[in-house]
Amino acid sequence: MISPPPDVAVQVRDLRKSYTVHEKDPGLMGSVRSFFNRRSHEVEAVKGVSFDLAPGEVVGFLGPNGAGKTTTLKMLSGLLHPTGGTARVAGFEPRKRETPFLKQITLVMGQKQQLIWDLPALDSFLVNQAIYEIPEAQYQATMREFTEVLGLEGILKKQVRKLSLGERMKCELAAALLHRPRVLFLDEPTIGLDVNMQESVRAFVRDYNQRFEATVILTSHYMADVTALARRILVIDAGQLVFDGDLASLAEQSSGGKRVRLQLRQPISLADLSRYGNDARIDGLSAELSVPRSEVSARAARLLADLDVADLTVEDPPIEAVMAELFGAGREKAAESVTGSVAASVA
Amino acid sequence: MTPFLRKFRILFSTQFALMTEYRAEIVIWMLSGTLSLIMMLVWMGQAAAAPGGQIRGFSASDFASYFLATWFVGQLLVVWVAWELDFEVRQGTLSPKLLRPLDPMWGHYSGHVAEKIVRFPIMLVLVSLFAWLAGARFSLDWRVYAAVLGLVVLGFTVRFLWEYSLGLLAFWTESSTSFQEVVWLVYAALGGLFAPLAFYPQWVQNIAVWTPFPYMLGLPANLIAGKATLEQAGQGALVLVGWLAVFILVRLMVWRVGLKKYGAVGA
Amino acid sequence: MTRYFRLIRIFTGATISAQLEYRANFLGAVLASLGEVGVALLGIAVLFGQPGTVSVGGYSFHQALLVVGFFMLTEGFISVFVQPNMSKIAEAVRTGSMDFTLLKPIDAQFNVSTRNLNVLRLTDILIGLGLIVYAASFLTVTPGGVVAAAVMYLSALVIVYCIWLALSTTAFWFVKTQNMSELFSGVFGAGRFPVTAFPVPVRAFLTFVVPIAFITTVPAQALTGGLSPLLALASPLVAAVLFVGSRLFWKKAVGSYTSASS
Repeated sequence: MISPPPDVAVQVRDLRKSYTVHEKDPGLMGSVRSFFNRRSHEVEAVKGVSFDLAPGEVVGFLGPNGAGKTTTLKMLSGLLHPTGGTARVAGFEPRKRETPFLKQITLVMGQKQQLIWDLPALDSFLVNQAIYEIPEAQYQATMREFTEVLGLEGILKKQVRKLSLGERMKCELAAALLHRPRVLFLDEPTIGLDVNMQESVRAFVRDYNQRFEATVILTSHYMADVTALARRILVIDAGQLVFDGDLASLAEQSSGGKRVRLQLRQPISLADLSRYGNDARIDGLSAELSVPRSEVSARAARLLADLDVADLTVEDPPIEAVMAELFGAGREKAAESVTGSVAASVA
Repeated sequence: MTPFLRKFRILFSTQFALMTEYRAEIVIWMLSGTLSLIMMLVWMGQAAAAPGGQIRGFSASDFASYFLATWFVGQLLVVWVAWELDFEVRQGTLSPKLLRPLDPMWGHYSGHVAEKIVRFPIMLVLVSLFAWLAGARFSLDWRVYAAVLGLVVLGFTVRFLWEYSLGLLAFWTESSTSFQEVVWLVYAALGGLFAPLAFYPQWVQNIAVWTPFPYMLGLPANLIAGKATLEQAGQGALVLVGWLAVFILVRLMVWRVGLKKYGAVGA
Repeated sequence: MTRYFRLIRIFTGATISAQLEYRANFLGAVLASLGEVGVALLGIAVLFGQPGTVSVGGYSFHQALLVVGFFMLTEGFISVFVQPNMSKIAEAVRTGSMDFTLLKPIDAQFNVSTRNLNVLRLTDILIGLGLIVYAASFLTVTPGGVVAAAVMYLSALVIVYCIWLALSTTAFWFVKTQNMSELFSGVFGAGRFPVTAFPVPVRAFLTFVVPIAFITTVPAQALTGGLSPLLALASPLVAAVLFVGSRLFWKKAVGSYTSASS
């Protein structure tokens, strides 16, 4: 068995997973027909994904619903067995789920809780302490830290069912990280939380990452999670890795180029503004438009020359727009995985 | 203390706290398992109507003793793990448990044991009340109760393991709990829930002695009712140990194969 | 009124569609039915299997079998129509979705009672009917007896529904206790046997406190012409009283629920 060099925390090579699913026509007749004669077909959820993560690295894992994010995380944590390719996490083969491996990882899945519903969260922590064989001193120290960073004071002795969603998620995170895992798989850790709560979860993950040099893979619907925590982004679409790089170069990927914002002294018509770039918008004397990356200075000069401009700024497009465009493009073949607005499904 | 015992102790005390939260539900579950009591009442009626007031040497009071004892033992043998597993596999809540470095079975096992301890005092009160109402008489020899405890621990563990194996069928089918109900019927029939085993046709008795059922339910009940000897208890315990070995292997096999299946398809 | 029939049709279509999705459950339902009928048949088989036993509680084997038939039929009625709906009441109160039910412009009790069906357990009903026909073929049955039995059994169904509704309604106060109806199932198990098979105090309990006698024994007596006029009158009366009572109880529960939640 070849173990990866010590500077690789997660190594994924050509990872694949396919499922058999059954399909039915809508309505009662469709149900009756499918009851007797079930049609099924093979779906490739993950089609050969490869990447390496260094220890201590935090990556954002993005893609529309059904792109294969959760499937990949489940394979990396050992819950699902790959149908092809290899994965090594912290030097182990995940599918074997050996005890030393399990003690080094954690998987947080949005609403699937491991806390005992009718007991205070503290009881669940004690169970995890025993199961992960955490020494008492370490347990106390970790609890002190977590209580402080997450603000758990006063909620640990309440029954879990009586906690608010946000309080529950905090306890969930604490329970999942009590054994100080080296590799964290966080699947939608902030889903359904209010803005303050999202911020404190982010702060906690950042703090944990720095303190323990832990490797973190994070999926989220909220771009803010990703931009706040991850420097590196992996984008998966229709089971394939379509981007691997830092946030800035993801923005460069977008053909839309940069976004120019204008503060005007004189109103202008949309038709006139549209001659200078794409996707123009006007709101009173504020206006904005996109220009190709290579022509930013030329177009800006023309705008300044032609119009009565009070102020002009050039910025990278918001990441949401980049994602929308990215998935808008290579979309034709995988139309079934798009639901609702693309921007909303960035994750 | 070994690490394993330490883990089990913590699991147990947590589960015990959880079960005391559910004490009202436990009482309701206890009262819903009435088959022994119904059979007791019918047999008592039959004995009272029979010439000489006896059927096969059992008077109304004997029936009361036997069936109350089966009710008591049956309560200690209650296992619901198949339902839990079915639920956990369907809801996907088994997944987080698989990522912990401990076989999830121990969580379920400690939960069952904790529930029994919460159940026990309530049972004692109810069984005393019923015994007084129905005129049952129980053995007063303490060795009998030691033997009953041994048989019940063995029998409960055997049943837990077979129910666990049935529950794991949830990896393959949505009907695992129905299999469980059919197996329960065999357990109830051959265990002696409908009548003492001696009341069954000879050929049924011949089959029953090869199964674990009479030794985990009927035998302890007969001991309590004063209708079986300690020697029979010893023999019964040996049979149960044999079945225990069988079901440990079966459970392990189904678990391994099931995990492979779960890993292939997911939840 | 026609609006309510139309609603029943729509609810039924939806629930059947949902169930056909899980065809493996069909096997499960058949196994569960077999288990249920197995318990009932084994019970009387062992009793009648004793040498010299020709009757239980004054019932011959085929008369007792008739009672088992009505028991299975009722078991089926509960599994198909009652339990799938009533078990959802506690859940709806716990998750708060009861709020939506109460906001719908149709009668809430009607809504919670007719939303779901477990068609897969129709096998219980078929087994029950089969047992009744089989047992009746060994007995003398008059057309008048059939009519009387039908009326008695209709009352029985109302009684069963009302008891379940009342027990499930307690969920409005005891949110955590979701298995109250198990209490009824426990007592209802006695309906496998003719009520006369039990000692006198128990018989009184099963007639006056929890009226199990009216559910299985009385229809069986009516079919074979052995029903006393008093019981024949009492059965519909009990059903009517329970119907009004459980309706009032439901109203009271809903009232206290809506005034309690903010």
